[in-house]
Amino acid sequence: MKTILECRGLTKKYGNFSALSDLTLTLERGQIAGLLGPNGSGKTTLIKLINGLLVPSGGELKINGCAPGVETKKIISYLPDQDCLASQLRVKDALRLYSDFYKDFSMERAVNMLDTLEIDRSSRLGALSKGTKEKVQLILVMSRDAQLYVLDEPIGGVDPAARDYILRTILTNYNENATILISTHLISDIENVLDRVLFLKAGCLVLNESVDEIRTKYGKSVDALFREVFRC
Amino acid sequence: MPWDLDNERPIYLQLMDRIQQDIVAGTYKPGDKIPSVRDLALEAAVNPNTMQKALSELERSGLVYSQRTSGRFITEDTEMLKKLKRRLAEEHIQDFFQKMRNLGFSDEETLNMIQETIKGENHEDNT
Amino acid sequence: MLGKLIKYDLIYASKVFLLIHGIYLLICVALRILIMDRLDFDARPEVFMTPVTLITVLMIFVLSAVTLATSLLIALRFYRNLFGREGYLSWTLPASPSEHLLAKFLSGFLLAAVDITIIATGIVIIVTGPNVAEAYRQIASEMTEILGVSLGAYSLKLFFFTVLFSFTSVIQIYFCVALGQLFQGHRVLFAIAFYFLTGFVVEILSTLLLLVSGLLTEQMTFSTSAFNLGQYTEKLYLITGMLSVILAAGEYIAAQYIMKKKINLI
Repeated sequence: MKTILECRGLTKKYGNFSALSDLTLTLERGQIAGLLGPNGSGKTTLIKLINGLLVPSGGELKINGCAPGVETKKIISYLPDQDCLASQLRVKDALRLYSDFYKDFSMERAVNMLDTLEIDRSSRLGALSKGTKEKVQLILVMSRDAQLYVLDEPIGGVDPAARDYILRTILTNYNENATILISTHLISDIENVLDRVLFLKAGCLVLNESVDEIRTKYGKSVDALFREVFRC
Repeated sequence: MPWDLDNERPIYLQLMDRIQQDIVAGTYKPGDKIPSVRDLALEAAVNPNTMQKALSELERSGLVYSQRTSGRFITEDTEMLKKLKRRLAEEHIQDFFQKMRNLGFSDEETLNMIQETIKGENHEDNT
Repeated sequence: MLGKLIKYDLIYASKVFLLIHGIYLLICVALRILIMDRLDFDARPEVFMTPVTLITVLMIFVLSAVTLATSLLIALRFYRNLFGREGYLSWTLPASPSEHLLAKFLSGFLLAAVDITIIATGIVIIVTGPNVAEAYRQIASEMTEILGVSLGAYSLKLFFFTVLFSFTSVIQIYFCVALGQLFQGHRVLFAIAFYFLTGFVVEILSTLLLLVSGLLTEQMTFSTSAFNLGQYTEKLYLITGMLSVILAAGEYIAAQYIMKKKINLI
């Protein structure tokens, strides 16, 4: 099956406010897609729906042909936009947790990456700096052999050097059959690693095109196009 | 070090340019094996699919050929490499003349200036 | 999967739990050595009643604190692990909502049961000194007559009932936390409000039930010689216990429904 993610008429409302309205979208395997949009455009809402953290108000969402559930959680590797590891855990406890619960987790890969960064596996997560904690989470997420990686703002709060490291980590661990969905508002940093971009504006999908198509068609970078589409 | 890419042209075209440049400059010799798509993508900090596309295009032009199991190699056709070198040089020259025209110099004036510049450089070298 | 979920729940909770109960046992041992063992029950009642009253008041305070801490720990584990920021990981583990709830239920029940066992152990430590045993021997037959069985047997029964029915309070906590999740904001506040509300409803229902069953009126006739406190409390426990079990079953189903269909992490 070539399609990994399929949304049809997907809608999410909070009271009267539509965080996502009538979103229809198909995402093929084997690409890195950027989910772009200003704050509050529905990026995180879509990501939470994909991960079953929110229940849709309407429409349909399928991952590898299944509605979000145990089967889809086995094949999605998710990096939330916030710190989700209990701070009393040590790094090695978090490793064990991941390898206990996810069959596709490669302990060796995770340990190698942690060693490269010289992160002490016996330190408590609560004692790590914010940037280091984010790196640990990314390492855990990228050490899985998932079919769909969903990364919510992986480069949001870190310095440029860490940003390079994170992008390299994503590229290094990416395999050709997997799909990566990255949400961010820092487009220029990430533009070169994307196959495709999805623009979300006020809960609606306004653009779904490949990066090279955009450059050929509009003669400008995705970043420049973004600034044009979302001009305030 | 990520490759220096501009923001306007399609990325795969820029990747092709860069690899061609490397071939002409001798970074890769005729018959050399070139790194894997993944390694090149990592080096350039670009999407592997885009790198794949760039290499496929180069393959189509014949500059690069692939052997099913052992990877991609630079062509050993030195004639073709010469032509490539020639073509890139022509592109640079045309580009340069265009820029000079934009500055208001006729081609002749530009040629004269080139000659003077070369002389000046030689003169400096002699002293 | 269920086993792993329970394992991690217990790992998360164990540190604080052991700390609280360790301190509790230390307090009990201290009370026994420093006060109980020094009591002289042959002295005039005015003399030994003061420390006994002191110990009773202190123990009521300590027991409330330990029970509250354990309930809070169970509630917080449930809330944090599923509905706080840790929920982002928990809900994306390859486990179903029913498995999550069952795991939380079993780990919570285990904690509650161990909590009661340790509390009982502490009380036993306090009251089993040779001087207390000696003093009790003088009133033992009287007590046995009132209770219908020996004090030991009576206490043991009470203990088993409490352990057995402790799961209902665990479910009540989960139900209220889950109910709070149905709101857009102030979810913890709503959960606490629901906790008091359900507590209130349970009180009313059990009072009604006691009235209907005639147990409450039976209590009025305490002084009659036919009255047997042991049998009375046993009946009381069975009736209120059954009520709690039925309510808990409903709460469990409701919590499971919310976790399956209404999860909205914000």
